[in-house]
Amino acid sequence: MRILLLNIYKVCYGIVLSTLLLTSCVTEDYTDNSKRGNFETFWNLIDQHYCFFDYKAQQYGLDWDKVYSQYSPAIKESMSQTELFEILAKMSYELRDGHVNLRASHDVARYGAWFDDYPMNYSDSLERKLLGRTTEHRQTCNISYKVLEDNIGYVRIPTFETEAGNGNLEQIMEYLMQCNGLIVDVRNNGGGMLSAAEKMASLFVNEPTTVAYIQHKRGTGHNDFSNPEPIVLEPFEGLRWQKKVCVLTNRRTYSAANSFVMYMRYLPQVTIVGDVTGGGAGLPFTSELPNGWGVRFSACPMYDAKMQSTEMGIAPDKKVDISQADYARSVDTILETARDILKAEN
Amino acid sequence: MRNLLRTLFISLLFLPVTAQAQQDAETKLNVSVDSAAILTQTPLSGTLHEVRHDHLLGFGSNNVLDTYLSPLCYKGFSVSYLYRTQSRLSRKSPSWRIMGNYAVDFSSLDAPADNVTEWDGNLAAALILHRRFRILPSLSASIGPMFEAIAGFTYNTRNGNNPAQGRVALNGGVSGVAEWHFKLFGKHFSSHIQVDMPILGLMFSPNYGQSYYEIFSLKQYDHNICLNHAFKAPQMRLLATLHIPMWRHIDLVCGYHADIRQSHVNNLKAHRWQHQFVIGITRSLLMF
Repeated sequence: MRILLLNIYKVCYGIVLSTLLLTSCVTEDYTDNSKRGNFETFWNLIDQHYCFFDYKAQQYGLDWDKVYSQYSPAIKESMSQTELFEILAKMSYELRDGHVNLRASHDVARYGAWFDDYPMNYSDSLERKLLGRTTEHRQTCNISYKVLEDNIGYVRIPTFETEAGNGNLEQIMEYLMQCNGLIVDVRNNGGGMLSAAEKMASLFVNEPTTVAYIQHKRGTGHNDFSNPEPIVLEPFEGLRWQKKVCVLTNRRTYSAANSFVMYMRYLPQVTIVGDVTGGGAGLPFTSELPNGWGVRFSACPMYDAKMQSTEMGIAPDKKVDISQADYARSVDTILETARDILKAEN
Repeated sequence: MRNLLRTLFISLLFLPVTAQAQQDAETKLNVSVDSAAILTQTPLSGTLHEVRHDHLLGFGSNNVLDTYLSPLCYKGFSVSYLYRTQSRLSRKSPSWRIMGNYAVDFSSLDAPADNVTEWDGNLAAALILHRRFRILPSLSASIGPMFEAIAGFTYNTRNGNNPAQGRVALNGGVSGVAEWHFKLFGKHFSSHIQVDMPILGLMFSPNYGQSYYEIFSLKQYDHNICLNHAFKAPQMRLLATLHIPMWRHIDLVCGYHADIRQSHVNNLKAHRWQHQFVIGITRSLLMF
């Protein structure tokens, strides 16, 4: 009996001892809340999680190690939090990505050259002129729609932050079903939920259709990616649009709205009209720095149906800008071009 | 946590010594009809056996890391309810006992900068089979296998596409209990130390940068059921309690509860270090 007990104790001690000796606490080394610590944490977070290093190295020569060398000497413990914020913000701008943000209580660093450097191609006044007074168009789930005088259906989707229900979309389709063509306006749509964009695009496919691919990182290396997996659109259960469609875009068509355009661009009845989209083809994740600042970054890259990245935007089928003269005449040139395309095809 | 494990190791090391010092109590304990005597290896009666129910409330601290959500450790207050029931496995094998451990806990945690909150909650159920050995009349030790199922979540109130981490795990491991019965102020006290140590298990985890959109909306899986073992990420649950007799079959229980959960799978690190003061009651029933 004593031998048996002795053996049992040996087993217990063996387990405890071997656990103590062969393992350690599972923890992470991002705890230093100094200026240097926050700088290092920010650089490491991006280095280990950001998903477009190789693509952007090809596009414009992004070198994240070089960014470290360039900004590291500027970090001093005597600097203010505002000065640190400015340096980290400038580092984030090197990624040229609207999905990369640094959030502090006093400011949000956001890269805006993807739309700041280009024409707006959109105007509230022009939209109001088109839709008319509140009672002159319908609106549900942030989607405004009406039948234009030339029997073209117009659907304005300013955001995908709200996902329309099946009933809402059926009502919209039913209302517009007599129209000769459809205009879907996603200009100035900054995105939202991918599922909302998918549901909207599902109104335009009649069979399961691979419209994009997505992958994710599997490790800290810049190229540790999973295999691209298809995003397959299932047809909307109910009324589906079978006639011609024009999708209106501008530089502020971003993120989930960019994905909507990406889903639609290869469908045979669809024409993209307007300006190049803003891009934003990386599903963003959120993390943080020891001082509490939030960090957002692109984590899961998405590609279109031909495995082309749309991170830097999608070129339209018909490139149109609204000129100053058009604004002065209150003419939405992009919309008018779409109407002409739809009328010509009828 | 190393200090905790070291304390546990030293406790186990000195158990026989402590028991030797308590030999004075053995005779009296063997003749008293209470839980202390009944819990020894030889039952008082061939038909009577004890069924014990522990109800414990825990209050303490929690330290949570999940690198899928944040590289920082969140700390805060945690509450839990523990229910432990144990009885003889069968009449033919009185030295084998079966134990069920059930726990639910909830924590509200703050980031180091105190500007973001995480909520953490868990449900756990464990089935344990113990072989009891009487080392001394006042001291017994039990050891045996354990199987547990855990489901839980950590929700970060700031994050966007990675707002939460879901946890589901099935573990197998080793469990041990040391029970020491002693008399103080004319009453029979007992102290218990239970250590549950998962050795090998399966757990759910998203991959390093995988979004829940891919898992749940697109139904795309990528190594999401992972093997977790003690030599990669040691885990342990320790419950040390002092049982103070109050009424005939009811003891007041107070003690310390540590729940150390860790994982390192898919290049994601996670830990949940929970330390609590527990208080409650033990109800002992004599059954035929």
